[in-house]
Amino acid sequence: MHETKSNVGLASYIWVFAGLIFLTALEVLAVSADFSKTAVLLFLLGTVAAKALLIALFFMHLKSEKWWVWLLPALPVLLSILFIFALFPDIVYHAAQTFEHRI
Amino acid sequence: MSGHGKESFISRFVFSTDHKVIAIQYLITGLLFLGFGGAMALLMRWQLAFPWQPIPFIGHLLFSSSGGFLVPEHYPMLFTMHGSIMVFFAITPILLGALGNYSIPLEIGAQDMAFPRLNMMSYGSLFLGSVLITISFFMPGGAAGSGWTIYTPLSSSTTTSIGWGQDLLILGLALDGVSLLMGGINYITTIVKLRARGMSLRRLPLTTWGLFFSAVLNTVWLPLVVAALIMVLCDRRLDTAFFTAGPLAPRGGGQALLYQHLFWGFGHPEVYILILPVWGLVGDLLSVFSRKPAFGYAATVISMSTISVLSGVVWGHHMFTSGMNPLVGKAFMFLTISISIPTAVFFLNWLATLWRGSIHFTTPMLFALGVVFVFAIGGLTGLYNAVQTIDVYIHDTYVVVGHFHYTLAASVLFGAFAFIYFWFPKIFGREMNSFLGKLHFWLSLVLLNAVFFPMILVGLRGHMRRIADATGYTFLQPVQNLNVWMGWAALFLVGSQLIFFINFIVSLFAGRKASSNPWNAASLAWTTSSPPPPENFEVVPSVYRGPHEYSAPGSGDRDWMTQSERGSSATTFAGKETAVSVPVTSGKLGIWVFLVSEIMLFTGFIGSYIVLRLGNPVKISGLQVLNIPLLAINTGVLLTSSLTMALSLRAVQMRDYVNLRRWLLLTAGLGSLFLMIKFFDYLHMWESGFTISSNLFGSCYYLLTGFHALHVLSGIVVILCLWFASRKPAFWTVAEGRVEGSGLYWHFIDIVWVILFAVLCLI
Repeated sequence: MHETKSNVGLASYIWVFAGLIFLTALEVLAVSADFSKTAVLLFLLGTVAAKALLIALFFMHLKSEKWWVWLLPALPVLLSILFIFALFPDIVYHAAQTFEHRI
Repeated sequence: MSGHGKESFISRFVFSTDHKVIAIQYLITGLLFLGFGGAMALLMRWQLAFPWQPIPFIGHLLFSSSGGFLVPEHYPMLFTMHGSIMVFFAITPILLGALGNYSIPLEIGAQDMAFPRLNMMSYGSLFLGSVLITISFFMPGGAAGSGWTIYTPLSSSTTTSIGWGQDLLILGLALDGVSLLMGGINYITTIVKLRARGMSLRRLPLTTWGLFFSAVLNTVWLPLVVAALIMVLCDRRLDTAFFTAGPLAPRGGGQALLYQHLFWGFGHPEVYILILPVWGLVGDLLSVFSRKPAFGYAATVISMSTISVLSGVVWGHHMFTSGMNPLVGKAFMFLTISISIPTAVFFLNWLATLWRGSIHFTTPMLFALGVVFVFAIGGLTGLYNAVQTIDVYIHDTYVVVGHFHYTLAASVLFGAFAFIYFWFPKIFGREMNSFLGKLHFWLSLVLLNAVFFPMILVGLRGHMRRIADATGYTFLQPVQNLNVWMGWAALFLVGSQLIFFINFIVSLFAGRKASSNPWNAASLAWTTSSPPPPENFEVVPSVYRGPHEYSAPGSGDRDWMTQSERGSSATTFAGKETAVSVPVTSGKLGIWVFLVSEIMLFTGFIGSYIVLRLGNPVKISGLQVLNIPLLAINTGVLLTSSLTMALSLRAVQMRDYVNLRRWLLLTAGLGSLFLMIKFFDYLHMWESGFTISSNLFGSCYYLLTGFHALHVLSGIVVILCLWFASRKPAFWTVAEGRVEGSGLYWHFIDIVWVILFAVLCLI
C-alpha cells in the first residue's frame, strides 16, 4: 500500500496547474516578441525546468518522498546532461568545422 | 507470489511465471545460441586458415550455391552474426537471464521475483528477438553484414546494406534490449524489496551484488542504444538521415559519429554488465572452495560500484581513431586507465581469499580460477588499447580481437561454465560428472589460449580485423601459419565443448542425486532442497550472518555455517538495513526504475536532436514550419490531463471510487484528444509537403513526437484498464498503488512533452 502519503491538497493542484498554463503562455509570448535569441533561449530553459519541477514535485509527489527516491530521477537527468555535453566537441563543433571546410 | 499450483504443461513450462523455470528457459536458449555462434566462429576460422577452400562435410549443405565454400559477402555476415549472437543471445541469457533469475530469489530468501509476469514477458521478448535474428539468415540478401556494432552509414543505408537481414537484426536486438530492461527492473526491485528478514546489504552474496550493479547499468545505459537502433531503422526504411551526411544525405543530414557515441555509450558498460555477475560469482566460489571468508568483501562491493560508475564515462576509447576531438580522447584515456584501479582491488581480494585457504579443486572452482587467469590477460592487453597513441596503431587489428575475446569470450564463458557446474545440482537435483567437468576445463583452458593468444601475435604484425583472406597481403604471409594453427585449435576447442554438452544431458537424466548442499556452501540458496520447492523455502528463512561463514568458530564439526543458522557467533538482525525498512512499495519502486530507463531513452532521442541541430549549418526552427498556437493548445490539453490524473490519485486516497472512475476517464479522454490534435497536425504538415524525410528537422520532429505519442497511447491503454478494473470492489484494495504507479508514468509523459514543446517547437 501507499506508504508515503501525499500531502498535496486540491488547492495546490489547481495552483500548480494554473502555473503550468501561465508558464506555457509566457513561453509562446516570449518567442513571438522581439527579444534576442539568447535571452529567449535562457528564458525557455528556465520555464522548461520550472514546469518539469512543478509536475515532478506536486503531481508526482516527489515533494513528499524520501531523499533516495529523488536520486532515482536525478541520477539519469544528471547523466543525460553530461552525456549531451560530452557530444558537443565531436558532433556540434566538429560538424560545424567540417561544413566550413567543405565550403 | 506466483502461484504454482496444479498447472498444465504449457503454463508450467512455456508461460511460467516461476523464476526457476524462466531461468531454465534462458539457460537452454543461451546454450543453443552458444552452439550456433560457436559454429559460425568455426566457419570463419576455416576461411582464414584455408581461404576459399570448400568447407568439409557441411560446406555443400550450407553454401550449395557457391560450391561449398564461402564467398566474400558471406564473411561479413558471419562475423556480424557471430558477435551479435554471442554477446546478446548466448552469454547474456546465460549470465543475466539464467544466473540472475535462478540465484537472486534463492540467495536473498524470496519466494519469487518482484514481478513474476514481467519476468515471463522478459523471456518472451528475448525469445521473439532470437526468432527474428534466426529468420534473418533466410531473408533475401542474407543476414546482416555491418558488424555487431552496426556502424553507420554502412548499416543505415539500404544501398550498402541491402537485405532485410539487417532490419531483422536491429529489431531482434531492440527486443533483446526490452527484455534486458524488464529484467533489470525486476532484479533491482527484487533485491531492494524482497530480502528475507536479516538479509542486510552487507550479507548479500557477491553474485547478487554483481547482478544488482549489472541490472543498474542495463537500466541506465541500454536505452541509449535502443534509441540509436530505432534511428538506424528510420534511416533505412523511412528515408531519414540521422546518421548520414554529405552526398548520402542530399537534404541535409546528421552525423555517423553520433551513432558511435550512442552505441558505445551502452557498448562499453555492456562489458561490465556481463563481467560483474561473473566477478561476483568468482568471489563467492573462491570463498566456498577455499573454505575461507571472501577477503575484502566491502572493498569488493565498493570496487563493483566504482567500476559501474566509471564504465559509463569511458566509451570514447572505442573511438580514438574515429576522428574524435583529441582533447576529449585524452579525457577518455585517463578515465579508462583509472578503471584498472578497482579492477586490481578485485584481483588482490581474490588472491588474498585463496591465500592459505583449504583449496578444493572442484570443477566450478577450476572455472572460477580460469576466470582469474584469462581476465588477467584480457585486462592487461586492455591497458594498451586504452592508450590513445598505441590504440592508433593497433585499432581494428587482431590485437583488439584477441583482447576482447579474452575479456568477453574467455572470462565470461568460463564464468558461465562455473555458474552451470556450481548451480546444476540445485537447479536439476542431480550432480554433473566431475571427471568430465575437469577434462572439459583443462581442454578449454589450453585450447582457448591456443586460439586467442595467437590473435594478439598476428595483430601485432598488422593483421586486420575483418578481412576474409590474409594471404592476399604480402606482409601477412609470414603469419598465415598462425591462422592455420588457430583454425585447428578452434576446431578442437569447439569439439571439446561436446564433452560439456554430453555431461549436461547425461547428468540431467542419470546424474547422481544431489543433496540440498553438495558444496557445503553457506549462502541461503543451499539451505533449501535441490531442486527447491515451488516457493523456494518450506519456511520463510531469517538470516543471522554473512554469506561466507567458513572455518568460523562455533560451527562444530563442520567448517561452515549457513546464513540462516543461529549460533554463538551469530549477529543480530541488521535493523534498518532489512527490507522491511525500505519505505516504498515494490510497484512504485519498479515504476521509478522504469522511468530511469525512459529518461535515458528520451536522452538518446532529444540529445541527438540537440547536438545535430546545433552542429548543422542549415538552421531550421520549429517556429518556421509548425503551427505553434495549435501545439500550445495541445500542451494545455496534456497538462490538464496531468491535473485530472493527480485528482484520480487524490480520489482513491479519499476512498472516493465514483470520482476515481470519472477522473480516470477524463484523463484518458484528454490523452485521446491530445493524440487527435497531433494526428491532424501531422496530416496538415504532411499535405503541405513537410514529411519525415524532408530534412533533418522533419526527421527529428516526427520521430520524437511520434515516439512520445506512442507513450501517450500506452498510457491511455493503462488508464482505461484501470478504469475497467475499478468497477469491481476487489480492485479497490490495490487501487491506490496502481493509480499512483500509472500516474507517475503519465506525469513523466507530460514532462517529456513540456521539454519537446520548447526544444522542438519554440527554439
